Amino acid sequence: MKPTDISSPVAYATVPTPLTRFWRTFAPYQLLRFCVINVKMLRLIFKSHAPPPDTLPQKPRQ
Amino acid sequence: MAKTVILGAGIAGHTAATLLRKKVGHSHEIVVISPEPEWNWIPSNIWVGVGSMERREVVFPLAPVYARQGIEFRQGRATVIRPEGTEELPRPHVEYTASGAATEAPPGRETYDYLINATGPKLNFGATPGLGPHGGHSWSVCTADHAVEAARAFRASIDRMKRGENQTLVIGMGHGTCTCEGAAFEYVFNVEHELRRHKVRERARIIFLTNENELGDFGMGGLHLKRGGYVTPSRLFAESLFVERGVEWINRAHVQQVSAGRLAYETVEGLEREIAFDFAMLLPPFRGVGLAAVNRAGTDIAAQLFAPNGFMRVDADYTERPFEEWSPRDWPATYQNPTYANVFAAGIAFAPPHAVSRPLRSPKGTLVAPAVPRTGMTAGIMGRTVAFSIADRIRHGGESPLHRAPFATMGAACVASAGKGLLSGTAATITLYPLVPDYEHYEFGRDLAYTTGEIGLAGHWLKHLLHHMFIYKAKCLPFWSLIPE
Repeated sequence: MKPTDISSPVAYATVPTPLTRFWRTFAPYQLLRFCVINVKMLRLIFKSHAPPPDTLPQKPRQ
Repeated sequence: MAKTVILGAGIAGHTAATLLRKKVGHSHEIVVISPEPEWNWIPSNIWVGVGSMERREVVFPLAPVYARQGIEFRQGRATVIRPEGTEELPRPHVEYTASGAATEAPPGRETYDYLINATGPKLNFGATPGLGPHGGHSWSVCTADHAVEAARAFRASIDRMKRGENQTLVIGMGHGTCTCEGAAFEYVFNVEHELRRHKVRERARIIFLTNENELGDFGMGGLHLKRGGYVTPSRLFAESLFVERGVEWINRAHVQQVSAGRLAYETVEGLEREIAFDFAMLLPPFRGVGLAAVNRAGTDIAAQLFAPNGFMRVDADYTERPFEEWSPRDWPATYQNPTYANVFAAGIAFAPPHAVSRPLRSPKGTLVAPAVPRTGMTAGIMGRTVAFSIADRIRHGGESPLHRAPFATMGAACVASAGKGLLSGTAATITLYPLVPDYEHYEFGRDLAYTTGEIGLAGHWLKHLLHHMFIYKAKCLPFWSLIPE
C-alpha cells in the first residue's frame, strides 16, 4: 500500500523507521524488553487482583 | 456438606471449579456441567487456525483433571435453571441434556446450594445470513474444531496462490455487534505472516473488516499510549501495523450477508458495498446460550435472570442511559444475581450493562456497536472472585461478605502474536488499566503508567510463555495455583 491516495487513511498512518523495525527483532534488546513486559504484566495483574480502596466489601443480601 | 454446580468449563468456569475445590477441601461437592469434554486454551486457536499449531496442543480432556481434583464432571448442556426447585424436588436445581459421546443418556438434573453460570456464549452465526462454517460461507476460530477447518481452507488458498492464482482474504467481524476484535486482529497478522513464509504474499489482497469505530478500538473504546514524547491514540499504533504489513481495512462496518465468495456490508457512513473473496474468517456475535429459568410455580422467570441478549443479570446497573452518562460504576463487582443470592455468573456469561465503545448507527438504523471483551484474564479473575465468595459462604456461613473484583477496574492484557517461530514472529503487546475508561480519575480515561503498547519479539515470547503456563495451570499440575489468573 502506497500513501499516494490522500483520501485514504493509509496516507495519514504513522510507519516505523528501519531502525525501529530493527530493534523489534534484535534478540538481545528484545530479551530486555521481555523482562520489562513481564514486570508490566505482573504490576497489572496485582493491580487487577486488588480492588481499589473505595470498593468496600458488600454487605450480604438479606 | 454444600454442593456447588458450575455450568461451563471454559476459563471462568474451570478457574472457579479448581480454586473452589482448593479453598473448601474435599468435604463439599463440586459438579461441573459442560457440553465439551475438553478444555481449550482459546487464545492459541489463532495459531491452529493458520495451521502452525496442532489441535492437540491447545486442548486436553477435562475428566482426568477433575477426577484428580475430586470434582464431578457431567458432559452435558444445561437447559433449565430452577432456582426455587419444583413441587417434586424442592431444592434449587439445574436440568441438563447429555452431549458428546453420552448423547443417548437421559436428561439429568443436579441440585445445588450455589450455582455459577460460566457457560460462555452461544456463537450466534445465525445473526448474519450465510455466516459461519456450518451451513455458511465463512470460517471461524472460536473453537479448536473451527480453527482446524479454517486452517484447512487457508492452506487450500495458499496452494492456489502457489499455482499462480491471486486470492482475496477477508478477516474480521461478521456482524455489527461482535466482540473479541483482538482475536481477529491477531488472526489477520498471522495470516499475513504465513503468506510471507510461504512466499506468496504478493498474490494476496488481505482486507480487515471490522465493526470497530477505529482500528485499535478493540471493543474497549480504544486507549491512549505514551510514545515518543506524545500521548497518542491506539488508532495510530494499529494503523501503523496495518500499513506496514500491507493489510487494508474497513471499519465501522456491519456484515449484512455472506454468500459463496461474496459478502455484503454497510458502514456507519451509509455505504453499502460487496466484496468478492476467496477465503473469509469472520467471527460471529455472541449471545447467551439460551438457558430457561422457571420458578417453583412453573412461571418462566428468564426475564428476571437474564438480560434480553440471554446473558445473566448480575450486580450491574442495567438502567438504560445515553452514552454520555455511562459510568464505571455501572459495572458489576461481585457477579451475584440480584434475585437469587446463591446464583453467580462469571466470564462471558454475565450481562454487561452496556458497551464501552460508543455505539453508532448507520443511516438505515443498523447498530454498529462493538461489545466489550470479557475473556481471558478478566474471565479468570471473575471465576476466582466468585469461587472465593462461595468458599467463604460455605465455610463461614451464608452471610459472609462477598469478594469484589469490579469489572471496571480490572486491567487487561492483549498479546497479538504474528507467526509461531521463536525468532521469526513478532507480537503487539498491549496492557491497559482500567478496562472501563474512567474520565473522573484519568485525563485520558486510563492510567498511562499501566497502559502501554509495543511491538516486537518479546511479546511473541510472552505469548508462547502464556500458552504453556496457562495450559499447565489448567491441568492442575504441581504448584498450579501459584500462577495468577
